[in-house]
Amino acid sequence: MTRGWLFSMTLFLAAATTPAWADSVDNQALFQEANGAYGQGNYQDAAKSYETVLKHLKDGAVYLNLGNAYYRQDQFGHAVHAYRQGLRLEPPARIRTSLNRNLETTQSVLRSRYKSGKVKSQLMDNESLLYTITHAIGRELLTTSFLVFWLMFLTVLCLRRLRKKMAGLGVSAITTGLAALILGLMLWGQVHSEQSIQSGIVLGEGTILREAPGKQSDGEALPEGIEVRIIDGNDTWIRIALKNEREGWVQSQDIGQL
Amino acid sequence: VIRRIFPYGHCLILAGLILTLSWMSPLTGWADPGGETTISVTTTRAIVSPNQQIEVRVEAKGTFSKILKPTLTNFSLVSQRREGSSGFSISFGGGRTRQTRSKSYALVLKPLRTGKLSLGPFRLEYNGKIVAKSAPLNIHVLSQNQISKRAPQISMKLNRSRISIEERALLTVTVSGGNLSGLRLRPPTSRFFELTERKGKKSSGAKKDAQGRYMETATFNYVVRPNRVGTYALQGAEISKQRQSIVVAKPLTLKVTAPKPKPAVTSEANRALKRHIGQPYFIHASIPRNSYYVGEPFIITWRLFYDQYSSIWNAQIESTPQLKGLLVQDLNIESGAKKSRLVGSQMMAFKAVDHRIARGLSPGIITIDPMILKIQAAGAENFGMRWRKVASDPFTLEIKPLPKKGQPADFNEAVVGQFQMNVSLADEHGQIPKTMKTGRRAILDISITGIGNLVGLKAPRVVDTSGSFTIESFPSENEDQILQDRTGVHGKRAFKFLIVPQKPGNMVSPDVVFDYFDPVRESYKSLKTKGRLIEITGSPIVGSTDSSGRSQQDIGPILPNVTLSHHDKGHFAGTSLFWLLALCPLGFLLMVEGGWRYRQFVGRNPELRRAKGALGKARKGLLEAQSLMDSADVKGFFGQITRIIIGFFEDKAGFPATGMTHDILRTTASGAGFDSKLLDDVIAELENADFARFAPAATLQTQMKETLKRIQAMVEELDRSPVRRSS
Repeated sequence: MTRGWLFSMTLFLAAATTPAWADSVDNQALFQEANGAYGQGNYQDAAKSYETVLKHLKDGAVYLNLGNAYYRQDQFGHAVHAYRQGLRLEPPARIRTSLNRNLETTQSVLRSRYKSGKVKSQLMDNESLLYTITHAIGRELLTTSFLVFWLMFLTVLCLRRLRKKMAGLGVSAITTGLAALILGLMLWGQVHSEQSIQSGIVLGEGTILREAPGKQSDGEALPEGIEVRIIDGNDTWIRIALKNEREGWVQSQDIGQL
Repeated sequence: VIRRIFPYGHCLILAGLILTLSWMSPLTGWADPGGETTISVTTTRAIVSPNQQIEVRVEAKGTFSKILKPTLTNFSLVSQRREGSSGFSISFGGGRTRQTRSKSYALVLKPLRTGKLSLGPFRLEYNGKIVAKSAPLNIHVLSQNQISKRAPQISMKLNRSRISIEERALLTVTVSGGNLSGLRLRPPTSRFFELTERKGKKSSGAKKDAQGRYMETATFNYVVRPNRVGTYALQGAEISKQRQSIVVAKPLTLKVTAPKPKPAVTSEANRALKRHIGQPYFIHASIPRNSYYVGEPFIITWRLFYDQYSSIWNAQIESTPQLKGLLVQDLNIESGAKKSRLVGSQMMAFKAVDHRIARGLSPGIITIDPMILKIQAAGAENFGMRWRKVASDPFTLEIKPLPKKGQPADFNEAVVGQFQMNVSLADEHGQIPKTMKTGRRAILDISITGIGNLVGLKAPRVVDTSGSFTIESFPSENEDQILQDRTGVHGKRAFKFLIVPQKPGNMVSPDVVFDYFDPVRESYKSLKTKGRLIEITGSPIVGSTDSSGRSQQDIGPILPNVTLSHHDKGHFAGTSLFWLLALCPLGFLLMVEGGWRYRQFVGRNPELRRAKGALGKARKGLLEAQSLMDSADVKGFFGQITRIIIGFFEDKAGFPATGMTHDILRTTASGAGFDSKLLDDVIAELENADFARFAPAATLQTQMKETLKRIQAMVEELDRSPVRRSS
């Protein structure tokens, strides 16, 4: 009886302590294995291994390598999806720079592919002006700047009441208040767009935007790699909106959710 | 036997014979030490004033036993000092020995009368005979009316008005006047210069003024050494007598310029260390050859040479050479152990100070400008522990253009060195492919090894002669192994290409061609590896989707050596807590604003301010009353109660309650708007207090507590009463 308890406790402790450590080792080993496969030109296996790593661990470098593996297989939609997911993690600057550069390259390749089709080309265009403005600064820098200016603004207002004889507080209050307002709006815009707007990437070239869910419905082909807004959907069909406000249904497997 | 021991013995015998004959014979004049026996008498001043002392120098040399002084009739001897050393030697000549010697001494004389006086002659005696005598010395002793009345004057003169900091200037100070005796000269001073008097360069004399009277002159010479660059004044020299200034010379200005840069020598001339013979320490910059081709890497080494008996305590690079026209990279190599080398006849120690690897960017003459080093040295040359600067000499080297003869088309000029190439082709399984399907990838692995400009190396040309493969460059920077050390730049560069067969058939894989320029053999070399025959199976690939887009630009490489970590930590800015925390300081602001607005409101309403003041004062009074109660001071307690009530009326209602009878107080307070019933209670308390002040203390402890409670409640109620303030 006692022996059985001891055995159970050992199993429990082993189960409770080892997986995290073992996981990290396995992920690192799997990541190196995937890199080796990539180096050999075996991109399919490399992508699979990267996907496996990402199930356990969200790392910007893995997304970068995964995007590259897809790119080498000409799966540009998947590559864009991987790069965008990697960027959403706000990784360190070195990885972020690589992700941005490769994303731009991939989008450039796609743009050159669709340059003859006007509508598709428009859909491939960059983000809206509002998006560009709100995302002009990285999240960390934006958050820090907002807090600094916000605290400065409140401090100046307090000083106006506590130190009446201090000169220049009015101008300082207006300046810091405006800066805090702009930065706060940008930050709120970033947070709002990520939390309330669900978006996705068109993964494959053969993705058809249909008027109603079901393969019998009419539709038109969507360009690969564009970002769409997800309105609602179920396991098999998703209702999306394009940047030109056109709405329709696509198969859920053709959209990579961000 | 003599001949065996001395094979040239007959020569020795002959030489001895000649010497003996010359000593014996009076005819051999060459052995005579010769030299006349002479005596000379000189003075620095031939014209003197009556009380001025004269210094007379007597020098005698030759064969003599003693110097006979003349009888001094016109002068008195003040002092005598011996100056020159008396030498003694034996000479052979004329068949007899002779003694030769020299002797000199100085006499200080004082003239006894005026006029032109004669001194001398001085005579030399040898073996009781006079062998030489001096010419008489004429000295003019001036009378008072012959001496100029002119006051002392002083002037300064520099031989140059502009010098470099490494040069010296000569300053001449001239003092003149009728009588200079008793005067002292203070030399010019300046903290920007070091002045040193030139020994033996002082002179004095006499010249006539406009009236024909004699005046004295004295000249002093100084060496001026500047210690900083700029234009600085040299303060005037001063003449003083008994510590009182008489006259000061006009100051002079001297412009000190930076040292002139040393002219650059050729690389070959620079290599010779003989130029540094005699220097206790120096820096020597060296390169292995005198000329290099464009793009060819070479090492520049700066070595500090110093006397082997010295030791260098510290060495810091103060300024590094600019090395314009060269692409330079610092080699972080340890300076290594001290070594020794003969420079001229002196053994000197040396240590490397800096190593840099450089490549010429364009043809031309490049100047390796000086490196300036600050060293702290001590040792045989007694440097002390002062910091000293030492600079290397500039020198030139030639950067040669690559020859046009034999240059391959589209040759990249950066590919200079001696290289080998290794090419391998592997399929997706790492095997050498013999057969491949169309669309499958194979990797062409090229490694270039050798010594030379590996950094600027461009990828070899991959030439698909069969036209059946697509070729794509593949990032492989991670496999580069470039080493930079004392031997130069060497190692390996790796290049990878993906080749994908497009058509079926027996095809030859792409050839690899690599051209480079060998600077040692001074000729172009071409390395070529031919492709291998591969059987391609499968169907041909037509119309690849995006090759045009991707061939122009490519994605960056993967990140292979990254330690993975969770980046998805969630954004704090997206949480409600963040925004709540951000709003917290707003609460503080609202508190500050509320407080400020309340103070403003109170400030604008004087009645409220007074009422607040009256209440505050009453509360303070109640606290004092409590302390009086605790100390059982009955009289004080009830007196305080009275003061609280009276004071409250005065502060709040503004009428003079002090001195009013209770009835008048009731009437006045009622008129101010206080409630009548409340006023009855107030009057009752005042009367109670008047009475209780004279009651025994022991019975009133309880009463005081109750009174205090009642008064507290009463004050609060009085404060709430709306009153009219009397004017």
